[in-house]
Amino acid sequence: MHKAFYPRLAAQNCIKNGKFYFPYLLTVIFSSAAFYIVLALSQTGSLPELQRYFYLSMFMLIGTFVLGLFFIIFLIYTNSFLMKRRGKELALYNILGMGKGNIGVVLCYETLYTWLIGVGGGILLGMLLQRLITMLVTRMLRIDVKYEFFISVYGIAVTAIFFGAVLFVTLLLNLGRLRVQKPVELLRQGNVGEREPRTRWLLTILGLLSLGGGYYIAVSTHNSVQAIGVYFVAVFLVIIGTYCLFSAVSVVLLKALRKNKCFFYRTGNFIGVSGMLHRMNRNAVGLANICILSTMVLVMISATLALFLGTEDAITTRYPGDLNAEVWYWTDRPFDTDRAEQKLTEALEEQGATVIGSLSYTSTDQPAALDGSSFIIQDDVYNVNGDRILVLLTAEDYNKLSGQNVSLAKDQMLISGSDSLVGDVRFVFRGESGERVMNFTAAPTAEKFSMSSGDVYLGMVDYIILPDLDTLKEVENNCAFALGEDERTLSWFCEINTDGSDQQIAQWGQQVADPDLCGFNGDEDIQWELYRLETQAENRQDFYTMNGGFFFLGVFLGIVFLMATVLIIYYKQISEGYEDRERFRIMQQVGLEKREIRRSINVQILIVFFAPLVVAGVHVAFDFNMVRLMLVLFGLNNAALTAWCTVGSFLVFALIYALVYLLTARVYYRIVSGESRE
Amino acid sequence: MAMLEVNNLKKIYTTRFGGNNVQALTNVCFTVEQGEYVAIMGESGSGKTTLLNILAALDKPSSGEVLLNGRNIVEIREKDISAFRRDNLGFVFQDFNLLDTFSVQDNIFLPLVLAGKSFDEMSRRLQPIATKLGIRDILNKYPYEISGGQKQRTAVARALITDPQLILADEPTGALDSKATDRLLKLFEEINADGQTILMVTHSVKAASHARRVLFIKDGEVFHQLYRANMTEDEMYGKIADTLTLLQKGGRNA
Repeated sequence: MHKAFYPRLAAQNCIKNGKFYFPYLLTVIFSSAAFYIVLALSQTGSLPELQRYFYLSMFMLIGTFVLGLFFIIFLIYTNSFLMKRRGKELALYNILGMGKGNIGVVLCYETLYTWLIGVGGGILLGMLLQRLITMLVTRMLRIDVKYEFFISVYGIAVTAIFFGAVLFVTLLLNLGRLRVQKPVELLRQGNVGEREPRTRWLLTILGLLSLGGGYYIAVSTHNSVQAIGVYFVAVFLVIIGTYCLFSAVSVVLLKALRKNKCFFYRTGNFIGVSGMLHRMNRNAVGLANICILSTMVLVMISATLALFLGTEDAITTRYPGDLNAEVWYWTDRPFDTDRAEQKLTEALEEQGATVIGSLSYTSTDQPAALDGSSFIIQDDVYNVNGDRILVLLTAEDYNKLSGQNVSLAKDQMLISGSDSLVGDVRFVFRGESGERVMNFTAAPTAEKFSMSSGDVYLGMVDYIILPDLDTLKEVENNCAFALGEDERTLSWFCEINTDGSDQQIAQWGQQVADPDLCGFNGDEDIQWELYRLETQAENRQDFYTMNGGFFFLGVFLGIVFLMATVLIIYYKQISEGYEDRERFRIMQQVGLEKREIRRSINVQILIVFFAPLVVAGVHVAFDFNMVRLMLVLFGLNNAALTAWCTVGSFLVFALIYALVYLLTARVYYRIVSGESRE
Repeated sequence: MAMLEVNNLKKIYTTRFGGNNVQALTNVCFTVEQGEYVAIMGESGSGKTTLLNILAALDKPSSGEVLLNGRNIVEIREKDISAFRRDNLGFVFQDFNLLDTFSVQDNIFLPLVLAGKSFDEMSRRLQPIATKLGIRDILNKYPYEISGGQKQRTAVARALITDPQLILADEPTGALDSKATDRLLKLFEEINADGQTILMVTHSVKAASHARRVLFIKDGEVFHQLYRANMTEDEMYGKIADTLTLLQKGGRNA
């Protein structure tokens, strides 16, 4: 054969199979563009050697691995889809006299074209987009370093080699498939009627159970540590549930619909329901995949978006004042809190700051277990159901923080927390050498009380207001007894607000953080074990780098997964279009109107298309509790914001999804109504 | 008045780039009376299928008219055609054209569902037809579970259930073995005896010999016709065979 024959035939094949091939090529282009971008960003060399700039490279490195793994799976999947559609074509070549070797050569050329155009185009696109994305990243991460467009040779090389390898693997798979296939069977393929799927009760029950189990775990989890522990169990159950749901529950449901004579025997439902039922065998997995990918995109984007938007919130939670001092002092040595506050204020004013306000309080916190109306405090309390944190305050400090005016008698206390304990409440301190008990009469606080610093705790928090500092010290001493510790310290917090700019505050903070400069050293009445001072300003940058990095990665991966979802949907629609074509031709002959075709297609597509979206929405709704709890670990405790981000992400996602629907529905309609010839 | 009247039907296929025109039908005229059973015969390429497609309103002629009960179906508007086809015509195809996704019963119901009939009415109509065609026991099976003969009887049931003016059959025995063929042809005769008008396109002499009248088409024109009258099937068979021979010889001489 002529030398130019193979390359020409390969090119013709690619063009003739455009409906399948171009989306595949586009996938390769976008994938390699995305891959190049994360590689290039991870290699940004011109950044200062600061911790927070390291985050950027780290995030991009994670991105590289996740994307790499995903692309391997996804390209193999789309390629196998492509080849299945081409079975007939290749069989025909075989029958017309091309040996399998010759076909193999053609396939090699096709893969070569895909690599050249797809990866080459992808790298070019990546370079173009990199500029834009770099700008976005520096904005999001609030990196103030100018950071220029550059061509990453490393990025180009790794992208080219990685995708070359993946495509080579797909080629090997195709050649392997070619070797075992029998042309005559392939020619007849597709004419075999798909059997009606059986009702699989076991799988249905299993699916409902695991879905219910996953949902139950998600809803019944109440604290963040627990959430992390069970999250993947819940995800695993829901994934299993989703596959069962689509493959078995859907069949049960569709059969039930068919039993309903009034519903079933209407044009749209009649054609749609029976069509879907028969296709469920093969479709279920595809639908479940779409559903799971959509859920992933939604969770990833909404969580990172909430995290990013809540950064300011997280900062003020963690650092309530412009400057935040924390001192640990001993229960048996003097520490004059008013004097310490005054010293700090003076030291700041000496630096040139104007102090607008300050607030200080003493507290201590203690993990405990609740047994009836007794708080049990002992070593390893976590092993005896210790799922709560007690934050103990004096009535005086409580009044300062809450604006209330309460005074408590010696054995009274107020509680604000997860349970409404009233009446006799005991502290039981179980030490190695015995048990100590303190009895109180408890009442709830007038209003639910919480402190932003309490939000960083991962369990249930009970705020306990004690009559005075002596009682607080006694509790602390008893805690030390129970735990067998010598340390008996309380924490004193002081939040100071000034009129300075972020830059000034950072500077003052660095000065006053020195115990010599703030006047703590050498004062008899201020004896401390630990002193630290942190500013909001210095930490803001870190928070933004971290959360911005998450957000960028979330959105970036989200977009890539979305692309995958869209492509799977598109391929599904086309292949079903070709399958349905014959059916609609027959129905037209017995009197189905074009208008009706459109309507019944709509019924079918709407259900098939939006079922995954609806299920994904339900997944996300149940998952919300978990996401909210886990975001607490990242310093975000703002359920409303998280909820809005979730709803917003879902709406945007649904909009994109609907656009894809309109697009593919048109292609599908054109195929089944015979306007486009194969 | 004749039930079906075909006047001066002409169909010319034009290739896309205006090259050669192919004249499929030159000038076809014939009539079918209410309750007739007519077979149309001809060789491959004689224009049989084109004619049937035009009668089925699946294709438009280049000129001429087709009157069904005095109504010219050529002039029916595009959006009314499906409803017209559904209400007036029943189809039986060579390859059955049953849908694998429906049970036998639902396949038969299909045109009624498309017409928006209620389930009760559909079942009421199905009962006598299913009994007559001997498919009562397979109503809940799927097309891939039944034999060719059963498939074709299902298709006949689907054609009959709308109570059409005219049944159009395109090579109905083409994919059947001889036993199933015999049974189907007998069925057609019975249906016809009940007053159903049938128009069948075929090139099987045996199938045609069951009809009351046979039209022969050649080169896009009705070339000859035979009435069965009181002839037995065998006599009719012989006549048809003779006519075909004549037709082909004539073709060679022309």
